[in-house]
Amino acid sequence: MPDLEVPYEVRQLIAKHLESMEQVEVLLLLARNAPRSWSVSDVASELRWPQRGAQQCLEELSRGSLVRRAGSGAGGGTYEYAPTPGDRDSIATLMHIYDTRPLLLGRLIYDRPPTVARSFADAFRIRHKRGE
Amino acid sequence: MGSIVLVSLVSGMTAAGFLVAALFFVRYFRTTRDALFIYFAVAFLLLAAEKLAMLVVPDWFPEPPWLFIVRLAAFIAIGAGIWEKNRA
Amino acid sequence: MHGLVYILCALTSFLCAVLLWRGYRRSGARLLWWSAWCFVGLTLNNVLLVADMTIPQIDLSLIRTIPALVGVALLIFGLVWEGQ
Repeated sequence: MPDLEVPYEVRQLIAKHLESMEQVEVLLLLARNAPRSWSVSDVASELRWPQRGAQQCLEELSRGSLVRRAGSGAGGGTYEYAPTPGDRDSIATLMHIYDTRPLLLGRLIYDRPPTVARSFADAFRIRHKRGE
Repeated sequence: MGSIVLVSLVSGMTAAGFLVAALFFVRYFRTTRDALFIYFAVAFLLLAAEKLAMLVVPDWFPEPPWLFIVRLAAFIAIGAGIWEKNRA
Repeated sequence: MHGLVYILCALTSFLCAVLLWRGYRRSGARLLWWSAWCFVGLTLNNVLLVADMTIPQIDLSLIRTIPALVGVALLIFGLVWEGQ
């Protein structure tokens, strides 16, 4: 679907909660397997990522309203998929876009104009991340 | 020779400005959760404290030499913030 | 010794100004423009302080406070006007 046909709610969802493709992958992993709760090592081994990356994604996602930290534990706790009812449809659409139009999803995530605070903080990154 | 009153006024206004800036940085930390803003908030609080030294030091004009420690701490905080940002 | 510290502070301020200016060029966020000028003011503040300390003939005690005031005023203006 062309950019403009991406529903407004989905674009809002991305703008508010999703900063990177990695977060989308973790979110969709949790969503596809709901109501299972995942630990950091579960996610890391499922996606074949290093622990640190998985942990960072899960922590960032749990700050929003899409993923909830279910319990604490030695390994850093478990996380589960916990969207608000209004977000479920948007996430289903997100899943569809991820499966059929991944490049479009990349554009939606990375091409938004960042907030001034974000730009301020990013200015102090001496070498830049890819995509900037 | 600048008048003490004028210097006091300018120092006070500058200190107030630093405090307000620090408040904004705290707000930006709350929305972005980027630690850089905490470093900047601390730095600007220290810069404000340096200007307000006159409240605790009787012989504050010209500035006592040890005051540089406060300013140094402020810029170390900024440097540490930039370092932290580029470490990851 | 104290002069060295203030030179260090001046260099750090200048680095911030440069990074913010570069960030402004990349992102177009006007807050960064105002912030860059604030750090230019702080740089000047430190440089003038060093000058005041090392050159006995001149007295910059009032003049050197002005760049800091102007700088922070520009920063506040930017934060209030351009912040989201």
